[in-house]
Amino acid sequence: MSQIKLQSSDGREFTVDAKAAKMSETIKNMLEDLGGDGENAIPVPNVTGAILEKVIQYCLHHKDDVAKPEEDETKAKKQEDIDSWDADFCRVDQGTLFEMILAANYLDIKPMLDLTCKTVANMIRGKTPDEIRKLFNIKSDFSPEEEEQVKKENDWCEEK
Amino acid sequence: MELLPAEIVMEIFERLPFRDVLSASRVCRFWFEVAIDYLSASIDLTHEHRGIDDKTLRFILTRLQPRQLNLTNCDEITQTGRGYLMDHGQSLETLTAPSLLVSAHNMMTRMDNLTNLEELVIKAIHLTPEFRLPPNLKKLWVESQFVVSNDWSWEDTPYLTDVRVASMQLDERPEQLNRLISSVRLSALRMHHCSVYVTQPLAGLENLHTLELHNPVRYNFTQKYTYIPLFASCPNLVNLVIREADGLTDKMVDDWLALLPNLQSLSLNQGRASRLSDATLTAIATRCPKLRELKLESFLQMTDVGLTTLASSCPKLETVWIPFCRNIGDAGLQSLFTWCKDLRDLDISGCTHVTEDMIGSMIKNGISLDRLAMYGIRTITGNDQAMTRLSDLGVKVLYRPSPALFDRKRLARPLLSFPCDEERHSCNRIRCPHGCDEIVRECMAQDHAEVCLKHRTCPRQHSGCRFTGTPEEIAMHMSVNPGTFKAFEAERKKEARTLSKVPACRYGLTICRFCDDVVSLLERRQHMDEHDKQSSDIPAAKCPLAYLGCTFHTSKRSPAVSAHLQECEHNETFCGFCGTSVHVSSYHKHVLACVDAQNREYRLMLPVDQLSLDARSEKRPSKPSWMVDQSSHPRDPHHPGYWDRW
Repeated sequence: MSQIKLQSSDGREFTVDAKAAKMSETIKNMLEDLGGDGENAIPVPNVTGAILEKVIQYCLHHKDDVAKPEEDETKAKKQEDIDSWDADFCRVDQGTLFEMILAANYLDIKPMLDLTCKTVANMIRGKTPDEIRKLFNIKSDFSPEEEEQVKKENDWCEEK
Repeated sequence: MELLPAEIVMEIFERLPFRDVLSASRVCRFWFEVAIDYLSASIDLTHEHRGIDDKTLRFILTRLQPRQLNLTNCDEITQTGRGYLMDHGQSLETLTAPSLLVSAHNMMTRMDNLTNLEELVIKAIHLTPEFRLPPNLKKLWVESQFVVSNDWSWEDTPYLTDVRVASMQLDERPEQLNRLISSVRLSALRMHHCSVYVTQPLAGLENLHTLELHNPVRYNFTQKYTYIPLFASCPNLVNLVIREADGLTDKMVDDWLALLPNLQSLSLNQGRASRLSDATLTAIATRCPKLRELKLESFLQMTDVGLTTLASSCPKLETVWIPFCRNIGDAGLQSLFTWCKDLRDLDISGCTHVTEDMIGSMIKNGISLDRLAMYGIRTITGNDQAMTRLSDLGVKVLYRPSPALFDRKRLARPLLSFPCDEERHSCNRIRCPHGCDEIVRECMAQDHAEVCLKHRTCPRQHSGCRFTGTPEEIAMHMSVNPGTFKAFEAERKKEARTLSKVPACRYGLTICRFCDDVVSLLERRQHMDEHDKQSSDIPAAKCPLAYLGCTFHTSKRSPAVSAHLQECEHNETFCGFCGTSVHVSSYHKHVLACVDAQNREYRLMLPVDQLSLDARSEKRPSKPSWMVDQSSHPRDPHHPGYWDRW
């Protein structure tokens, strides 16, 4: 069984290489449970077609990667560098990026979750709270007094 | 963004440095709650771009109250910061601070305030009677010096079971070790670079289940009467780790293992000289039937016969690591698969005689491995069919893809000249023309240059700077003083956008002795000259030990201060041999005397026949008995006496 069919929440069907699809722990478990005959499409209810296309693109590119030893993983978490293909892959609008994070989380694809979260982290890095709010279009729900107090407490983090 | 659930926000925070998490916490209420949750569990400052100061530490301890705190690389914490740690660290359960020195000298004595602390990792500790350890401490790891004064008692820390010590000599104060052992109920003991002189079995080691000897000091490691009593006193030992042990022989391993009937995990790494052979495997097979975990590295003389003997007597083996045991082949692995049905984890990296047939015998014997490390076995990892068979079995294979597959870029480039025969490395070696001091093969020089020019390291690497970049970036990185960096950056931005992200090197700074200003090393000379010009304004220079209470000050430049340091009554250190406090100026003299006194004790502890031997060689009293006279030793390795020394 080298090809698998996946069905997105809006009904689109994709045919994928089995090895690429098995990068997702969720799909791997589903295949084992259903005993996958390759005929019926596996439903992926929480992910839309556009996002699933992105996920499959990622999996196809990374299916031959070697698993990193676990000690390296914790070390790599704090580093900012991203592979050039990966960086291009993540050059999408914010809405798509967040949906990609949610999809990677739901499908349990560790390297993709790591990549997308790292991309968001790099967007936040080195910015002030105001800049972050502007970037992600978040409204502050602190009362002015609260904000003043928090600001006072960690004002040393402003001095650069 | 507001739609992201807490677990995802947490994932993002995990990838941010501490300071950025704090600014993110001020974005909205939801993020604030997630950030506080994240930070109160554990704070790791290892990867921080800029170290933290006392004020930050105080904020962390009082407001965030983390349960785990990692202060690796935080060198800027001073006396005040340590005080905060003592006063406000009640929430801490784990504290990792490998640069922290704990002794009465820096007033770190009130650690009994840290009631929740269970794990403590520090650089050095000097235990004196006025000292109070955290009462619930379970684990104490000391990275370098461990000194215990004679009147110290262990009774206040009843839960302490795991002690890891680097460079403590067990022979120094046998009564100290005995007291430590009898009152602490150790369950794990790790020692680095330690020498052991134990003449009788020690009481109190019955609970010891883990013993790790890293780089044991060679001159006594090979002597029978020191290690046999040690192993004889811990009959319940389950894990034994011996690493970088030069001079280990088959006979020694056999003698020791005979004393350890309950051993379940054994890790041997014998350093440079590999002298262990199949006899060691036979010894393990006969002495340790309960073995579950075996890690042997670079046993060049180990053969399939030895491995078969071992496998047939240790059927419970689950983990077998035999990397770089080059004489192991398919036959050895087949017997391993035949006998050890519980095998889960196998490492055969570098065993180049192994072929694809091992997969067949694995399937035949119904072995299902979780992990198989095969670095450097191209015959299997380069074979797609074999790899498919392995992945069908559900084995997680660790290997490095072969360069031909890995480096697509190199294949795409047209070949300008004949490539050299890589397998035989026949082409010339040259030093990298771009000045990184690396020796490269001529055929690879172009590839190397691509990497080399992009990833040069900061010349202040030796003091800890980890910046890498192109030569241009490095030059800029070094010329910038963090204080003026922002202005510099703004100016630079106008010129070139690409270089604006280069961080300034904070390792090139120093503090002026006279005005406490932070000065770049590049500008230090000018700064001092300015002081000279306006000599009347020079404020008093303080003794660097002012924080210990020294009141000395002068209006002259450095010679006066260094002359004072020679006499300053606060400038004391403690002797690594006897633990007494010694003034720095007389330290050298004291150590010589101290070592002399210790030697006399060594001699008293030796068995009687050794004493009489020493009496005969009394003509050289200045040399310790364990030192072999190099001049009388035969240089020729074929001489019958050559190997006696080891």
